[in-house]
Amino acid sequence: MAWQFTSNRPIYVQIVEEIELRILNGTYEMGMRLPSVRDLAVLAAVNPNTMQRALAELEEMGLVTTQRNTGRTVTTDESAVSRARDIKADLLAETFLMQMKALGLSRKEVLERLAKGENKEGEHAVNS
Amino acid sequence: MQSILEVRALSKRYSSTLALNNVDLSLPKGKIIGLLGPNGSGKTTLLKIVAGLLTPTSGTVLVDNQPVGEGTKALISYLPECTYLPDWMTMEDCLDYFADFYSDFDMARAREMLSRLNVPAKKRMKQLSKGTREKMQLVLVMSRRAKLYLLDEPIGGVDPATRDYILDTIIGNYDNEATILISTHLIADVEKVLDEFLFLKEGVITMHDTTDNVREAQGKSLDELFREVFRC
Amino acid sequence: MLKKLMKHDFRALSRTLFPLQIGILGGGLVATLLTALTIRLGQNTANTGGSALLRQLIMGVSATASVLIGVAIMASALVTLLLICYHFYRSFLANEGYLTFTLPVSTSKLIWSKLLTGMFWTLINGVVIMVTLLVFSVFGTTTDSFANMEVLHAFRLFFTEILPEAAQYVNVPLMAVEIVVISIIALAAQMLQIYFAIVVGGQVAKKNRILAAIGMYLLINMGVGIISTSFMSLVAFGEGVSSMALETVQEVSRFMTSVFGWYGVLFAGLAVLFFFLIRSIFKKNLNLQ
Repeated sequence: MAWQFTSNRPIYVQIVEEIELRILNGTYEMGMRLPSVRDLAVLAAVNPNTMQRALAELEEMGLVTTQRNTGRTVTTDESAVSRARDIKADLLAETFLMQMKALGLSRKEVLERLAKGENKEGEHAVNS
Repeated sequence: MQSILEVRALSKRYSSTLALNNVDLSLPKGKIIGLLGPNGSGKTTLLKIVAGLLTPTSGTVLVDNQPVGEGTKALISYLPECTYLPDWMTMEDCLDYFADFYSDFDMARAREMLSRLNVPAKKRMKQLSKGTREKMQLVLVMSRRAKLYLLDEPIGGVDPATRDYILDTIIGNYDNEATILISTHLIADVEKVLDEFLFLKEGVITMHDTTDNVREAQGKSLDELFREVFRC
Repeated sequence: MLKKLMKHDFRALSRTLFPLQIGILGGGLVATLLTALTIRLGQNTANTGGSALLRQLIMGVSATASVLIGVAIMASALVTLLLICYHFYRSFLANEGYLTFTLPVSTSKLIWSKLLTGMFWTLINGVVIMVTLLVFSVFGTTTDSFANMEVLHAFRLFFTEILPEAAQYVNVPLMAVEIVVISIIALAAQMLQIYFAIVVGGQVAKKNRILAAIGMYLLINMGVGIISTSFMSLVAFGEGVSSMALETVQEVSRFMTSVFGWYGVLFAGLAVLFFFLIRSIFKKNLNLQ
């Protein structure tokens, strides 16, 4: 199944986000060997050059390392992963809070909603 | 930057119509490039001239610094719009033909792809469906290790599953030294695989940029941009 | 690369032409047997005083068979030529042209390959027809013995008497070589003339290209006729002036040899002309469907 991309942002940025997410949530385990650029490109149905660019970006972020013999692997450096997770989580929280504020909700109301949302998610988990 | 294709002041006139009007163009090595424009904008004419099937009215074309001829035909792998494999040939005949004439033909790769396509080896081309013939042609063309691929409307008029197969085949065989020029009017389908694009409008190149630039600078997809530029 | 081109052209042509030639030989053989049988039956009926009507009927069948075999052989020659032309047409003017003209091969080699393979099959067809006719005339035309001794005798006569006689006046081996060479050149010229007509037909017409090719051929043939006539008149004039009196046999034969030679020059010139015309159209004015 080809990956889904939105139309208004560069594709390589969206690939970086997708792979980052997979690393952070453990779909791509630490130390796991990644498929070749060509295979990843076919999987995502994108241009191999674009995939190459995205992987270079991920390397710069310290989430992916290149070994001479084994190709690309997910980093084994836990601090790099947790650092990336922190950055991502902070960013999401910030965005969330900003949007809530824009809706005119108070701090107390926001916390209430969060608790409610958590319960709902728990119900979904039980049901499914 | 080394370029694989240099086109200078290229024009092509068919009796009364000007199919290409003073086109200047330079394509880099190692990119997948979309030649985009509505029907009748001159896409096929441009590809045919580069492939050596048409003589330009004026202007010059250099492929890897050589004028179009025997030498450049060895570097170019061209997929026309029509089915062009002789009716009486079997798959083996076709493989033999390509292997004989193109030193860059990768027989093992072609066989591997054809076996996945389940093309019956004994059947003649005329006994195969049009869809199968078109896929076979693509496999043969992409099995060459050419420097420049010219694909004329490879996804025109095919169903979504075939379209995915075609794009997979193109991506899966692409090596980053080569340049692929794909002509199409179906932008949304190919946009994800394009590094760069050319807009061709009534025989004139109106835009040549990277897809990332369009998304970054204009915040819209190539398909959206195309619809704006070519609005009727 | 020419070798590879010829290999594939040969493969494409042999697919239809090989069975056709086998068919001609087989058909010829069958007709020979049939005729031999019917005339023997006719003879027997006559000898034993059978009805004249039956005899006439049988002779009629035999004659019809002979005519049919002749027609079939003429037709086979035409079909062979048509198949060669169709192969040329398909390779260059139909969709297959996209394949042919993007090969990393020079235009000249493309034409050479079609010319040589076409000539080869025309010659094979000629040999097959001659063998068939020979078989028919030797085994299918007599009731006296197994083979027709008169035909065989005529062949023997040709080699034992006519040729030695001729050798007194002309150089027979030279003449033979000359005839063979000129025939081959003439065949090449004819082949290229047909190919040229097909190419021009494709240039002038979008539909009915085959019809256009036939029309073109007739038109070109008229042109060739005019050129040949004027060229050979000039030659005859020149030769006639230089050896006013063709009185002795030696003089006549020398004149003939020279005229043959000039025919060779004429055909070679036409072949070269057509070759370069086709090449220039392919290079400058390719017009695929």
